[in-house]
Amino acid sequence: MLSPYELVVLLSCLVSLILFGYIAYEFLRVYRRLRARSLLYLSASFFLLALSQASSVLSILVESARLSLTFYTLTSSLAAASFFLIVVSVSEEEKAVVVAPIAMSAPDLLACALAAAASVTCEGRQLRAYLVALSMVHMLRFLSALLLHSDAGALLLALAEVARALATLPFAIFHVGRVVGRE
Amino acid sequence: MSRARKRSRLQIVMETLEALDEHGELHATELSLIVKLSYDRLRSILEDLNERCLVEVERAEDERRSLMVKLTSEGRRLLEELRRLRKILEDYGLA
Repeated sequence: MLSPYELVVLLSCLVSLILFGYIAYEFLRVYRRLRARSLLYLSASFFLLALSQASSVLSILVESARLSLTFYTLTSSLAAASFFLIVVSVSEEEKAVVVAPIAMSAPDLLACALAAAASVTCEGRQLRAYLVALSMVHMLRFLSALLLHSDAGALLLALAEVARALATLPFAIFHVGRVVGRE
Repeated sequence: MSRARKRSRLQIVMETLEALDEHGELHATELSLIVKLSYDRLRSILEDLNERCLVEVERAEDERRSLMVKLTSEGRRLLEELRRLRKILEDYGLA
């Protein structure tokens, strides 16, 4: 049974979800006929805000406290992605240049810290190694995003992204191997 | 010192559609003066809008080199939708 507090939050999130979804749909409809990119960006940012509200609804409805916290975290991450898109798509170029590295690097710092925390709490040595590697590549992405406007910024970011992709692939294969492979 | 803000393509398209809605059929040269855009730039925008069936571009009967432009019914419908979204677009500096 939901408390009055949860009901108020749930209802306002559901109404916002519908309203943001409606605005996103309206912009998408006009974009499909005019193909002006700024309309697509606005549509995507409102869609992300709608998803953020959906995530907030799920954080209230799921019974598991851990899942609820996960959706709670996802709520702000989706909202941040939406605001990022708004800033870089509608700002003058000079402002976007300043904001972009900060906004791009912040989630990597969090991912780095959380992957490191997960590596401490998990049991398997191999899994721990993968998580440490992921933590390191997110730190690399964090640093390279901050240095985006230096001479070697683009190259650094590209290398960090390759490192992240290469570190994530064995992590994914490891998990699938645990499920379908032979021990 | 204040700097004139560069218009986005969306702003130019909206102003073009608005001008055609207000004045009806226009010579492309007149339209370029109304929307304050170079003839070449306007022409490339009109070609795009014409391909999307939002405006109709025809050669003027009396002057071979002049183009006549008018809004299609599809273009008018799109303009109505853009007007509905205008307040949000203005808030974000896109219109």
